[in-house]
Parts: sequence; C-alpha cells; structure tokens
Amino acid sequence: MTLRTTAIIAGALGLLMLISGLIAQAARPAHAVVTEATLATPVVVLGPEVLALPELHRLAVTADGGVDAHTARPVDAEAWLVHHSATYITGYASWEEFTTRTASRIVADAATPSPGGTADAAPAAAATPSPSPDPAEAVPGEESVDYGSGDIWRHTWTGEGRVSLAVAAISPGEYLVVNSTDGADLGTIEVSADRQVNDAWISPLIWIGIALAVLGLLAVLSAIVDVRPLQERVEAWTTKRSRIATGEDPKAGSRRERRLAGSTLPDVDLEQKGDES
Amino acid sequence: MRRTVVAATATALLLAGCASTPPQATVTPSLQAEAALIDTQADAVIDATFAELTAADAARNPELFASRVAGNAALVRSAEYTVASNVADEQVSDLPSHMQGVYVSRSQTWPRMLAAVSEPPADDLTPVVYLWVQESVDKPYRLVAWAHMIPGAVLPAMPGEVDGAEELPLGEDGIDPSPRKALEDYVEYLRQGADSDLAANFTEDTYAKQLFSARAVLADAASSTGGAYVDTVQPVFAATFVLATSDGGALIFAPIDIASSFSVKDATLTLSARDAPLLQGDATDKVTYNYRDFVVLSVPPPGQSPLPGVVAAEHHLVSITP
Repeated sequence: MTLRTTAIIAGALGLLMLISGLIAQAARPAHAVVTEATLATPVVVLGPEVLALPELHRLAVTADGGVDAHTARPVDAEAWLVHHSATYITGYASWEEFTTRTASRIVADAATPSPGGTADAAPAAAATPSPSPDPAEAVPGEESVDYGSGDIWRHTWTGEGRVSLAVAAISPGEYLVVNSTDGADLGTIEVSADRQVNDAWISPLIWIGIALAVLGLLAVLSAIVDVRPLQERVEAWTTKRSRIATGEDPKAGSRRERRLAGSTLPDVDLEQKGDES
Repeated sequence: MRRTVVAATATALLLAGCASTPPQATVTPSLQAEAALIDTQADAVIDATFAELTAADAARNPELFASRVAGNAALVRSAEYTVASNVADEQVSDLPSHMQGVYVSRSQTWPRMLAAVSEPPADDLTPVVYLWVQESVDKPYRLVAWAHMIPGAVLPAMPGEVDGAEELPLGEDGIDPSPRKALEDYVEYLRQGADSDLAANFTEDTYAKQLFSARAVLADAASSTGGAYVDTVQPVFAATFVLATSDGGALIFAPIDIASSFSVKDATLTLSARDAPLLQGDATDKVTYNYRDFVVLSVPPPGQSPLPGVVAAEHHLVSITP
C-alpha cells in the first residue's frame, strides 16, 4: 500500500468523522432545558427529593389570578395538603415531561340529602337559565378558597399571574407548595434545568475529521494532477544549491577548498633543529 | 457510501441522545431546621400579635382580638379593658413586645406551642413570659396566656431556634417528678396552703405566698361575719404544655383556674371600686372571684439538687359572679 493510498483512506475516514461530528452537533440537545406541565388543581407541590436535584435552576407557576409559593417542613406541608386538592411533581419521566400524581379532596355540599325525598320526573320547565352562576350558591364538590393560617410557611413568594423563584432559595428538606389565591386551578408549571450533555467529543471529532479529510484531498489531488515538471524543477534547484554534482572547482581559499585538500599540518625540519643544539 | 453515511448519522444521533437522561429523584435531604417555627416565622407571629393587641388596647375593645389573641389571654385583657374603662387611673398591664428569648417547639403534631420572654417592661417589673398555641395546621398561633417572672427566678437554658425544644408528654417518666406529678403536687400545695407538706417539694415563690396571704386575710374577714372563704384550684391539663430544657429538665406551661368564693352572713358585701366593674349580676351574700392564672414551673433534670419551682406566675382576675 502506497503512502498516497493510505492518505486517501485516512481522508475518507476523516470525512466520515466530520459528517458524524456535524450531525451530532446539530442534533445535540441544549444544555438549558425548560420542562412544562399543565396543572388542573389549585395547588402544586414539589417534595424535597425533587428540589434536591442539582440540575434544577428556577421554577415558575402561572395562573389567571394571584399565585403564592410557600416552603414548609414536610410534616406541616403534608398536614396542610390533606385538606386541598393538589398535583404532586414527583420527578422527570423525560426532559419534556414530569411524573406527577394528583390528590383530589372532595368537599361535600352543605345541603344534606333528605331520606324522604321523592323522585320527580317532570321537566324543569320553570327553571330559567342564568348566564352567570350565583356566587352565593355553593357548588357541590367545589373547594373553599380559605387556605387558613400561613403560620406554617417558612418563606413565601407572591405574584400576580406568575410566580418565579430560584430553586436554590429553598432550604434542603423543605416542601414547596404553590397555590392560586382565588382557589382556581393553576395554569402551568415550568422548571428550568441544566441538562448534563456529554458533548465534549464532538469538537475534537470535527477537527480531526477536517484534518484527515484535507490530507485525503491532497492525496487525491496528487493522483489527478501531473506534478513531474514541478518535481524536476525542485530537483534541479536542489542540485544547483549543492554544486557538488556539477564539477565546478571550489573557490580559492574557501572552506570547501581546504576541506577537499585534506589535513594541513605544518612541515617541521627536525634534523636542522638538532644540529643547532 | 450511502450505508456508511447512514451508519455515521445513526451513531451520531445515538451518542447525542444517550448523553442526557433526566435526573431521578431518589435522595431526600434532611431538614436543616427542625423547629416548628424558624426565627422569621416566630417574629411574624409575635409582631402580628402585638399589632392586634395594640389596636385593641387603643380602642379598649376585645372584639378586635380577631386572630392572634384568644383563650385566657383574651379573657384577662377584656377584664382589664372593663376595669380601665370604669375606674379612673386604672391602666391595662404593660405587655412589652420586645423579646429577649423565644422558645420554639419541634412538635410535629397539634396543638403546638410557642413561648417568649420579654425584656423587663420597667425597672421595677420583671420580664413577661408569653404562651402562644396553634390548635391545628390551618389555625394561627394565638396568644393564650402571659405571666410576669417571679423576682429572682431563672429560666433554664433552652434549645435554640434551629432545632427547637422537644415537647414532652405530661407523663414523661424521664424526669423526676414527671411534669404531671409536679403540677399536681404544686396545685395541691396551693390548695393546702403554706403549711402543706408539699411545700418542701418546691422552691419558695411570691405567687404562692401572695395567694396564701390573701386567703388568710379574706378567710378571717369572712369568718368574722359567719361566712366562709374557699379557694378552688384546678389545673387545666388539656391546655398544659411541657418543653424539654437543654439540660434534660422540663419547663411546664400550665394554666390554672382558681375560683375564690367569699360568703358572709348578717352582713353586706361591698366590692372594691376596682372589682365592681367585673361583677356579673348582683352581689348579695356571696361572690366568686374567677381567676385564670398562668404558671410556668421548672423541673430540674434528674440528679440535680435544685427543687422544682415556679419561674413565672400571675393571678389574673377575669370575672366576679354572684
């Protein structure tokens, strides 16, 4: 296998690495992710085990009216929640969806059923439809808006239409309880989190792929383009620079001349010197 | 080539997708502050109480005790309003709102309590011990009692506001005597008087002394007319709270109801100008003074020499009935 063939194979591999890297970069999920859920209760609860997730940053709850968010000791929050319908956020099903459970508290109507009641099948012709409900009338199953004392809440955040808070502001071990102030169902809950994305391999993959692809491209180009004239010129220039092969005599007194002449030890007449002594 | 590109694409998508599974909630962190109320909550309760008390004091109207003052505290303050409104120079008692100590429980059930010790209201007055009670999770903490400290008494060291103090049952057997026994003995001592054998079980306190002194005077006055004077002393165990102290002892917050019946024969009862506004009906030959007292009793830990003793107590007259 020649060097050129090896370079072409490396280039093909590099091209694949480049394509893979670019696709991975395009398909890479964002680090910041916001998970949202629609709520159908006046109260939403996040337990301490959910709030302890290190990826969580902020959360926000929306409603048509006022929204209050509170923290409390678990035992206090659980005692309070016994009397209220609530959605519990228990974790993540995926980055797009929470796992939840809903606890519904049914409040009986104030009117007690009469054991002696008679069934009447007559149509209620006399009844006139009312465009708006009478606020004084109790709707069966509807919860009271009275949330009672707030003494159990350790910290409270309030907002109109939306309340937003940093998860770091909640002490470890505490519940977060968010409720609408008017008793109506909340709108949505949004939790922003920092997703751990293992994408450190993408950039090296792309750059190595680019390098190999360039190498392969050069190898391919060398196979296509006739470079012999260029090689000749290069060789001629190299030979000219060396001046060895041309047979020219070295310049007189140059280092090359001395090198070619060999050793230059001085001649000493020993006999003549001994006669004098 | 096409297969290779497809394989590369699939690999890239797989690597990118598998890298980000959502977190799983598995570990429940422990609570940093076990107390039922942290300092900001306790401050809010105290501030709201004194705001309500200040408004009611200004109007001398107990109907303004909407949410923060209740029970015996409301009865006592109402009686003070009645007296102050009908007797010149009579003022309601001074209740300082600045606290030098707050005692929080770590109770996980209801009812639960909060206590606080004020700064001295004046140079010649001792600090006031307040007691708040929360009956249930949706009810506010309400001031239900207060009493001035006994001169010279020392409140034991209590656990801090982070962890709170453990609420002990009345029958706690890790303390000798148990809170119930200590309270029963003290109430019996109040019934029997200064000569009771139970007097040796408690350190001396001015509350009992004043009670016995008044009893002796009134009993003499009643008997001189052929009548009688009887004190009926009843603890209210259902409204009594016990907190563990830092050294293993107990601090008992106990309301005590006292009814002092004064009767005469062949004489006419005349109430003092201060007491007359509290009379409900007509005084003939017998009246009963109804008190809602509040006593704070300290029980030392086992093996320590000081006797149990009252550290705060107050004799609160709320009504006089025929």
